[in-house]
Amino acid sequence: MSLLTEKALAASLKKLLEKKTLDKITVKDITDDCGVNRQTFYYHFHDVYDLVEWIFTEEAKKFMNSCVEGRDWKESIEALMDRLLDDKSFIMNTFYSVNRRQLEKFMQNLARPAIADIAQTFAEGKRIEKQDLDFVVNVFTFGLVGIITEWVSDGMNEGYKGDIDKFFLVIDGTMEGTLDKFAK
Amino acid sequence: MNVGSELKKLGLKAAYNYLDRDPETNMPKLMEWVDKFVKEDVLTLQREVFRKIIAEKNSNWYQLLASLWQDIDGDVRKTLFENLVINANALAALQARESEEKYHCNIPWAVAFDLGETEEGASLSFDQLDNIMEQAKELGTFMFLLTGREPLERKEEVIALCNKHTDCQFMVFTNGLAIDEDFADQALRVKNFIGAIHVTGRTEDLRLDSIFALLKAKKLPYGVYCTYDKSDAEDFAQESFFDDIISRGAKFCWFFSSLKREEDRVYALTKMYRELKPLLTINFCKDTVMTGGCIAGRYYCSLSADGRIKPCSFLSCPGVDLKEQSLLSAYQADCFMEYYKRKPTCRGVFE
Repeated sequence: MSLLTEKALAASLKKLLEKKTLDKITVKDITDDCGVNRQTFYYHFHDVYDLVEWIFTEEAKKFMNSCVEGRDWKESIEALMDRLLDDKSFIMNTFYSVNRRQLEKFMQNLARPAIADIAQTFAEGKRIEKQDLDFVVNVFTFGLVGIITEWVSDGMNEGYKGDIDKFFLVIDGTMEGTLDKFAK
Repeated sequence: MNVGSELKKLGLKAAYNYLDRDPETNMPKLMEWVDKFVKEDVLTLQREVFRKIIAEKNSNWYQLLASLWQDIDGDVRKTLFENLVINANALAALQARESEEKYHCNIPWAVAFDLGETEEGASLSFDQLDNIMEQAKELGTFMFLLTGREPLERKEEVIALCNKHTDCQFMVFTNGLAIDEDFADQALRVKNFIGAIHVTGRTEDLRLDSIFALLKAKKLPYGVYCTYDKSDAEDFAQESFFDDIISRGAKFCWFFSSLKREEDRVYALTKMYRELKPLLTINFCKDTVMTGGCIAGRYYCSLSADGRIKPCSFLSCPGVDLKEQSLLSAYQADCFMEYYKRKPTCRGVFE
């Protein structure tokens, strides 16, 4: 499937989000910018939030595909932050709309694989139940997403690297010990 | 919609999920749920009928109901339940009733839209149709019928309307020929589309076989409709006609005819087969016992291609121009109010 129309509508929405927050953007704004009619929009999407969901899914897919195999997990998380910075307007202006849950889910989906990778490395040689491993991964993922959320709400300043370094220290200091507690 | 309605909606959705797990066991239990959430005087007759159906597991009606779990896609069936039972009935019945009390006029259960062209070649645009649908929903109507010479000549538009108004059920009256695999997939995607395929009762219906097969394979809900008069009533007044459409997977058949009740053999058969065959049938406009009189303005109204709305497409009144006026003002206009003040007998089909 070519997805040409969907991509064009997504590009228009992102462009509009450089100037306005999501709750101020109407379907008509998007279709006017894109040069299609409302019918074409509604054929593909139920409403603006449906389009946002589509963008999140596509971006997450693209990010997953661009992840280099065997890349150091610190690099993975830094790459994630850089990726979010690339889409700064989109993230910032979606954040202030009512659909923050979508953004959180999106970030969890991006962050979890990197955290899971780290956990897998530490779990090597230990006997840990999958659900316990998943639980530990969740705790650290929520932590990372929480830090990122704070970063977004503070305006996504460039000085995030310092905070991420501290987060890595937390992982280095506690993840292995935490996993030991669940090991049989 | 207020908080109370939202909670009721959640309750009904939960009830459906419960039903979905084990329909046979849970159907009687579902009735108790519905009785709890819907006021006693709302849909009393229908609920009585439903209770009777689920009590008799060998009945044709139970068979038809059970087939909804065998033959229809899970998500589509769930949407159907939400839109038809919850939105268009349990909730809209209340919402529409509130509107009726507030505005002192009828709020029809369904609105029919003509997607065809006028003599001058004009037709209603997507934006115009969408605007009227939004007005209809405000007042409590969640059932839309799409008609015209052939609504699926505007396939993309139909899907776009379905995709925007996901809280409504769309029934599209079509000759079926435009339904291909791609369209069926789109219908599955939007989930609120029901096809009413035109059948003639003659051999030309054979060309619809592949279309029925496609809809059945995709597990989409569909039925048929037919029109007849004295010259071709015999084509439908056969048991084989009924059995044929049932075997082709149709869940309902709508009959349109101006034959008087006493002369209509098809109608006589329809009534007989209601007790025997797993098929929902309605004969417009003779089944007035079921509907409590003429349905114009109360259960349905009709918007023509030029934007004029009338209580029934068979009436010769001028109707109200919705390009100029609101839907509510149309419901309050004289031609509609006649059907509110009293229940008149048919002025269109049987005149």
